[in-house]
Amino acid sequence: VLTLLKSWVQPDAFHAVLNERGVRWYNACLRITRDADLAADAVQEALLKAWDRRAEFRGEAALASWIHRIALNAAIDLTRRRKTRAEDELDDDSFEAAPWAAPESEYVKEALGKDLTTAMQRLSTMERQVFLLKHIEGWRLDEIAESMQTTINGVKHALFRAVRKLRADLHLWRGES
Amino acid sequence: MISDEELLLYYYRELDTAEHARIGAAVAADPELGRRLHGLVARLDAAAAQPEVPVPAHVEQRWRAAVGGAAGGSRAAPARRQFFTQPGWLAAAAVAVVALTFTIQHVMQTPPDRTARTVPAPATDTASTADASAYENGLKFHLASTERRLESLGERSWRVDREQRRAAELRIAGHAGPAERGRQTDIRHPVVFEERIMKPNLTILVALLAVSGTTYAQTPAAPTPAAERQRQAKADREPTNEEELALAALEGLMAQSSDRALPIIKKVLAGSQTPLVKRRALFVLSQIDSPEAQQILLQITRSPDAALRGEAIRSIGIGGDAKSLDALQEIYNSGDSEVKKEVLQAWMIAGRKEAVYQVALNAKSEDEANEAIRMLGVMGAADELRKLGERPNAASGLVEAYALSGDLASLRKIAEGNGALDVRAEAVRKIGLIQSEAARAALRDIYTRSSEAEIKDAALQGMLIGGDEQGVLTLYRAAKSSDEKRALLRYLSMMDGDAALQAIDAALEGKK
Repeated sequence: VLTLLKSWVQPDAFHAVLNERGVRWYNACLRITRDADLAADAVQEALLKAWDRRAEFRGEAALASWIHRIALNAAIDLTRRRKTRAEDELDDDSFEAAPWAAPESEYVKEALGKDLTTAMQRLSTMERQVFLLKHIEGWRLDEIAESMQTTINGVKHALFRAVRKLRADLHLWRGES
Repeated sequence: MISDEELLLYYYRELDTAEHARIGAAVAADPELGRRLHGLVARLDAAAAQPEVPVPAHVEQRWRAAVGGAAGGSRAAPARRQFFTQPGWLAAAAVAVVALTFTIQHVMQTPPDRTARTVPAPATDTASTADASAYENGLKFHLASTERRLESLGERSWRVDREQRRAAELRIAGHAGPAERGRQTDIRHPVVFEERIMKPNLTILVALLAVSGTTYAQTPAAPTPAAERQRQAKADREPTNEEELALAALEGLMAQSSDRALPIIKKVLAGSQTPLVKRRALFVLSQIDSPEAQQILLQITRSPDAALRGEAIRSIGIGGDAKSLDALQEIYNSGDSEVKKEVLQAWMIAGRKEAVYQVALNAKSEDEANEAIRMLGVMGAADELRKLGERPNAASGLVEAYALSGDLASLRKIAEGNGALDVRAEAVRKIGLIQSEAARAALRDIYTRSSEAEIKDAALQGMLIGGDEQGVLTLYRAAKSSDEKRALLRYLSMMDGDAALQAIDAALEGKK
């Protein structure tokens, strides 16, 4: 039955998943990278990997979840590869100064610009990525550590730092801040 | 006092079993703590909220072109007519799969009540301090992510595991008997079981259980210890497709009345299903509020099949039937150490402090006492643990149990007492597990006042465990000798936080 179901994942099914979930993957990667081009590249990389292994998936749901995960891993990897130490220090500035070639990117820029006004802007790249992967994507700490090539303790500390900063900015929790 | 970090790790399910049980019990027992947790999560959702951005048209075109290019170079997909070359039973099973999928989809299409049941009301006292629009965005986001989680539950096979854990948590809190199920409100998303689990046709369920049992019946395991271990390992792995069908069918039985469900469960338990399916059947059995169901569970607590026996005992704890829990005393008295552990676990899940305390009190060996003491710690039974601590020759497991139950005063008493140095040092280290402001202050105080190197070192290890960077930084700034400064700097480096950078910066610049 399994073999039979696997064989039913045809190109149409693949494109159906792309139609349905493409926006979600793109936005997830956009949050991680803060860069429209890197987000698009990450999704494309995931799609190509998924196409090669499409026979291993039964049904659209499993395929979609897998592409989502691969895309996030690719986004983390691309961010890491692009980032230099100097860029890291000037993370937010470099984002604001990034070139936006396509007209659609204005929309992206505006949307992210709103985000920049929130507490998230104060997080470092690692803190932001850890927080998003844990809080939004629901990854386990060990999965995050593996993807980000660090230790579980490092992930935990980054998560707590992120939460502390967010708490301070949103005047959170019991009026402690 | 439970810290926000602990609450967060609890919400994320990143604590070990004992810690998870401890925080779960505290959250269930203290509505204020529950509100705090919800406030925390809602505000983090608010911080993460971001409007969804459409995919630019050129990007989408690029993706499609990339996939199209890959498709052009790939081998052709298998022809569908291969299906007709498969054995006949495959076709029958495929029909069953399609029938189940149809049933599930039919139920999934019924949208859950998305108004207030998935997201409890926020705590008004803290809500007022957050930015209103961000907060609204956060709630919307929270709702959306909740729905995504619900969707994903339809795709995964661990639905019952999740519910089982939840039932155990509620049982620990001592406020969820079988009759109360379905009326609980939940910080997380308890409606999953009520709204997502279908009420399928009983005939289909029986047929699915029969289909999935066939394959296992063909490969019976030999009744040797090695085979038993192998069966246990098999039971712990991911379910096969056939097992998934059976598990889904068993889930469906939870929506049936006990007189209809019991005969089927009995048949499953007596039949040739895999251990995994039988274990799940036991859980379902524990959720049926009938004397006959309890009787069957008690019978299985004496089964020679260790995995089934353990599951039956645990299920009695989860079910919470008072008579069955009392009956476990006899099982405890006559069982080996493994059975004893399982019974203690069941009592822990059921919140039976007195029964566990009596075991600790009358234990015949230190190991037996320590196991019971550990359970008391998980249950947060501070009074019982103190009583045990006041007895001469208190068991060594008390230190860990005090830490588990968050009893700072008792740990400090041991740490500053006249006992063996290694026990005192262990008590100091364990203070770090408590993760409260009082515990952090206690560790700083112990470090400052103690003149024993082992105790100072244990205090630093406790601060490391507790993540008290600021505390170590304060000690670093106050340190008199360069040796001490170096030792403290080493700890700060291990903590990998902002305070470490401050200290390193100061050290490099020759400041204090």
